[in-house]
This record gives sequence, structure tokens and C-alpha cells, in this order.
Amino acid sequence: MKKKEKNILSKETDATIVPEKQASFAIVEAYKNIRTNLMFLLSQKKNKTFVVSSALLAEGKSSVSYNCAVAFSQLGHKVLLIDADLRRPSIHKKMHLDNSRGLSSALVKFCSVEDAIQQKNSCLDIMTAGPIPPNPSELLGSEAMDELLNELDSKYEYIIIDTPPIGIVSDALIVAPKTAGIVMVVREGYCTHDSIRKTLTSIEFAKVRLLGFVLNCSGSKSKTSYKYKYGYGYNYGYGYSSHHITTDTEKK
Amino acid sequence: MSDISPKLILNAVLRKIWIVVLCAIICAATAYVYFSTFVSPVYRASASIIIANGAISTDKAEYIASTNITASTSMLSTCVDILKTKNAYDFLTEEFNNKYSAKNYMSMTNISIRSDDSLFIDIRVSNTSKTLAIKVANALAERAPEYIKSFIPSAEVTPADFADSAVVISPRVMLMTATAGFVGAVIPLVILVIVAISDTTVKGEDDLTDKYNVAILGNVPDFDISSR
Repeated sequence: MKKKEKNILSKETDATIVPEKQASFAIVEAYKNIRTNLMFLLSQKKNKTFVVSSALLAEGKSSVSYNCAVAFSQLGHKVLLIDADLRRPSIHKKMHLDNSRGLSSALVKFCSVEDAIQQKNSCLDIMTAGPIPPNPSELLGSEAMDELLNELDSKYEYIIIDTPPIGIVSDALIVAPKTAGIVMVVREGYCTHDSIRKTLTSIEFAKVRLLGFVLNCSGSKSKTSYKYKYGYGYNYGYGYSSHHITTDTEKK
Repeated sequence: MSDISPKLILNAVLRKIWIVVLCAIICAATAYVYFSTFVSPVYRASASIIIANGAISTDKAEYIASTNITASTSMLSTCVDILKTKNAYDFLTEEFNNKYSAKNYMSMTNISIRSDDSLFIDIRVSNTSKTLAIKVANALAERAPEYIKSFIPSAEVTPADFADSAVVISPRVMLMTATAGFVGAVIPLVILVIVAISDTTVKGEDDLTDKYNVAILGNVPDFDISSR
């Protein structure tokens, strides 16, 4: 990657969209757009859990998962972000969270589900991956995972599960049938069409629903950037005031 | 290969067109400097002689039969061959103080019939020295009558034109410069096309929508772009 992905969370523990510079407007709007589209897609579904994966490594799955979770929580929805990449967990690193207990711990009953969850704020909770187990695929496909998701489904409006790339391991395809579908992150100028086709074939074979693509690290001029350039951005009242948008809004 | 459309290739090449332009300019400039500064020019001086058989005389006001002209033109090839013998150039070695051997003079000289129905033989001498080229051409034109007559006594050979100047035949600086510029443009262009063809990564949202029947949920810009 040319540069590290910019996430829309501030350095503070508060899960807010803080416009550090005008530059973040385009990215913030992009995630809001993703949020809106996903909300429409999942509106008719009882199960509002979805998996975020990709074809290859380093396409930005974790960043997209993470920022989507923040975007959803911005609307006051109760959101849980689960780091289900039990092979190379990264969410805890991004969020500077403790990873001594997490998904793997909860699945093998080393700790309770509540203990495996760390609260970010009133709307956003995070379940890190936990200690790396020797059998990640088996754990993710176990009955314990089903039970865990069922239990969490009743507590959260949206559950976002960050998984390893489908092109590398099949963990995402093990978890995805238990969810509403897969969001596939594609990184422009990095991911090849060949790997996308192979991934789509795997998804189709697993009979999992593909919710859509999220194009990451896009270099083209999107409508968002045009709006930014032509005055729909930060300085013209459509951005954010100096007061932080808090997530202490009432749940819808 | 099917992942790449001509439009994508063209876009990829146009994005890097500055490389093509830069290479073309560098190659053209290098060629210009090299050929105009480091390569010695080659000059060519031209003299000519006219051949006739004995029946045609330039100082007699008699009618000339077409058979005489035919006989003369058929003799021209033989005269050219005579002038191409090594012995025809021996005298030049002595005349020009052993600067070159007879063989060298032979290699720098081109003898040819001007046209199919002409009685003229052109003597063209090429050399890096303008003066020498002129002198050699004129010396051959002067000596040719005597030399040819020693083989064909009936031949009437007269110098028709002496060289008084020499033209530069090489290097053709502008042609070399243009050729170098063209090559300097084509090579990176071919490389860019090959790179574009072999680049099977996703180019953008349109690339995804064109190839897959999958919804695009969002387009997260690159941090560098969004910073502008």
C-alpha cells in the first residue's frame, strides 16, 4: 500500500468522525455511502450480520470493516465489530486494544462472551480475535460460533465480521453462510481480475450471497471528490462543525 | 488478455505519455549532437565524360545515324567496366602522394551510366575531404579518355563536366535526428503498451461494473487523492 489507510476515528477513544483536515471529507462520505447501501440491502433481512473479506491480502478489509462499524454507530445503531481473522488479527492493533481475550477465547469458553467484548462507546463494541488458535477454520465452523452469533444477534443491530482473504484461506466462506452475506473489498491497482474471478467462483460454490464490492484506494475522481471540489464540502456547511458528532444519540 | 480493453490500454499509455515524449526528445537531441559534432561529413564530387564511337565526332557537322548512337550506347557498359578496373586508379596513388591505395580510390569511386539512352558516364567520388573528392573526380575525368582509348581505340571519350564543388551525402543530420526521435518514441510506447496489457489489476469502478454483475457498495478514495 502506498500509505496507511486513513481511518475515520480520531486518536481519542471516542468513536467519532473528526475532520482532522478537509482531506477526510471524501473518505467520510465514502463510508457513509457504503453504510447507506448496506442498510438498504439488509433492510429486509432479519439477520443484519455481514462478513467483510477480499481476494488478496492487504486490500484494506480491516480498515473497511472498522470504518463501516464506526459509520453505522454514528447513526446510533448498536454495532459489534468482530475480528474473525484468527490467523492475522489486526483490529486490536488499529484500535490499540487488548487482545488477550476475544473471539477465540469465547469460542472455546475460556471466557464469557461479555468478557470478550470491549466497549468503544455506547454504540460500538469490538470483539478482537483473541489469542491465535491452532485451528481457526474449525473454530469458525463450530457450533460454538453459531451459538455465539445467535446470542450476539439479539443484542446488536449490526454485526460486522472481519475475515481473512478468501483467496488465501476459506475462513470467510465458513462464517458467511451464517450471515446475510459478504462484502468484498477490492483494492484498485492491486487486486487482479483473475483473483476476483476465483474468489467469486468460491463464493458461488459456497452458496453465499455476495452483497457487493467496496472499491478501496480508488484514484479516480468520484462524485464525492467533485462535490468536495465544487463546494459541497467542509467549508460550505455540509461538513462537520467544531462540535464533535457524538454517538450518544437515541437508538432508532 | 481479455481483461484489457483497447480503451484501458490507451488510457494507461496516455497517463504515461510524458515518458514517450521525453525519450523521443532525448534520443533526437542525442542523435543531433552526435551526428553534427562527432561524425565526420562525407562529401561527394561528380564529374562526367561522354563516350561516342568513332563515327560520331563532335567537331564534324555531319548527320549522325541512329545506328551510330546505338553503337555508342552499347559501348558504354564496356567503358564503365574498363573504368572500374584497378589499373585505372593506379595513377592516383602517385598523383596524391600515396595518400590512399588504388583499391581505396576504387572503393570511394562510383562509375555509372547516367541513363539507358545517354552517352554520359558519371564519375562520383566520395571522401571525408571535400578537396580530395573534387580532385580525384576531375583527375579520373581527365585520365578516362586516354585509358579507355587504350582498350577501345575507336572510342571517342571527352570529359563533359568537371567537379567544382562537393555535396555532403552523409551524415544526414536531420534525417538521423528524426529517425532517432521516432525510435525514441516507439520503444517506450511499445513497452508501455506491453506493461498495460500485462497489467490485469482492477483499474477503477467502471472496470468492475463492466466485468462483473455485482453491486458497487462504495468507492473509498485513496488517501493521497483525497488529500488534494
